[in-house]
Amino acid sequence: MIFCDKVVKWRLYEYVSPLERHSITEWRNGLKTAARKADLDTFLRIQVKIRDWVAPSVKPLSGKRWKGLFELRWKSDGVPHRIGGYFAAPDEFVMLIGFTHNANKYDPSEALEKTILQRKRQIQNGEASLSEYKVIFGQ
Amino acid sequence: MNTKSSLANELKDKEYRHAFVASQIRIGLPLQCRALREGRGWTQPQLAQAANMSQPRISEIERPGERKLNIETLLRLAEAFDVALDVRFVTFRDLVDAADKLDLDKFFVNSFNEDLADLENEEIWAKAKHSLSSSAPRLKEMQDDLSEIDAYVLGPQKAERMDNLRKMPSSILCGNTGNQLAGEGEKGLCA
Repeated sequence: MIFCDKVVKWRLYEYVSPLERHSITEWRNGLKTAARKADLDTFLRIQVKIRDWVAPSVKPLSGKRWKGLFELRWKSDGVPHRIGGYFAAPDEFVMLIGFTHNANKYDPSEALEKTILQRKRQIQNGEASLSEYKVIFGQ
Repeated sequence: MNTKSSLANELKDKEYRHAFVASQIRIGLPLQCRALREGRGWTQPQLAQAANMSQPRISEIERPGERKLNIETLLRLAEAFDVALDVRFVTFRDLVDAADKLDLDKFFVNSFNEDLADLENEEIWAKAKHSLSSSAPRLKEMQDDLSEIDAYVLGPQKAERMDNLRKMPSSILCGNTGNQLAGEGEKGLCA
């Protein structure tokens, strides 16, 4: 992992439910096409090597309820893909949920209205945990 | 590429590995484009003007996966940045290695003029090194010649003669005799 230690600047964590379900890993594996999986993998692989996370790849969620929450943004198969989460440290991002949205319809439908807020709360309460997300590299 | 890596494992699936190739273009190039623009300190409108495109189009191009980038668009961007564009068939291993090594924080591609200046500096340095190395034998010869001349002019008894001169009273040394001696090469003793 010498290569990764040199180039990777961010650590990504994913939400793990009380039933030990890894939110982002499962979402990634459940994506409909190989293209969507590859795009997600490539996006994260590049993103963890960029020191400054800026728009349009990363944006804060707007609205008081979502204060402190951000989304990672890319498009795959013409569909906007998002990972919602928050910064736990200057070089750590916690991924709470992966979702898509098209014409204001979210999939899963309650991704922003309910799930992301609930998951953040569960982590803060200790009801759920975090696990480091393994970004896919060739080395 | 490490054959035991998670990516190598994914690439065993043909559908995934070809999607991986496409993702390097659809996801990777927009991020490279933004890094190139920011590396030059350009705004999106400045790049738009240089590439003869609209600013909203540049904004779209820089959004990962937002639009399909065709060769013509990439050529126009390459021309705007004055950099080369390398489109060729390679092994998956080469592609993965290149993707792993890509560090956008240090990503900067020289424009032609910067590249040329670097090349010229390299050539000047190479010529200087060559010139120095080819001069070395001649310098050694010249050094040997100088040593011979030194030995001939000052003679082998230089040290002994210098001691004798120092022992002489300064009045004698600076008189006729002294001047004769000084004339043999020991000027400065009377100063």
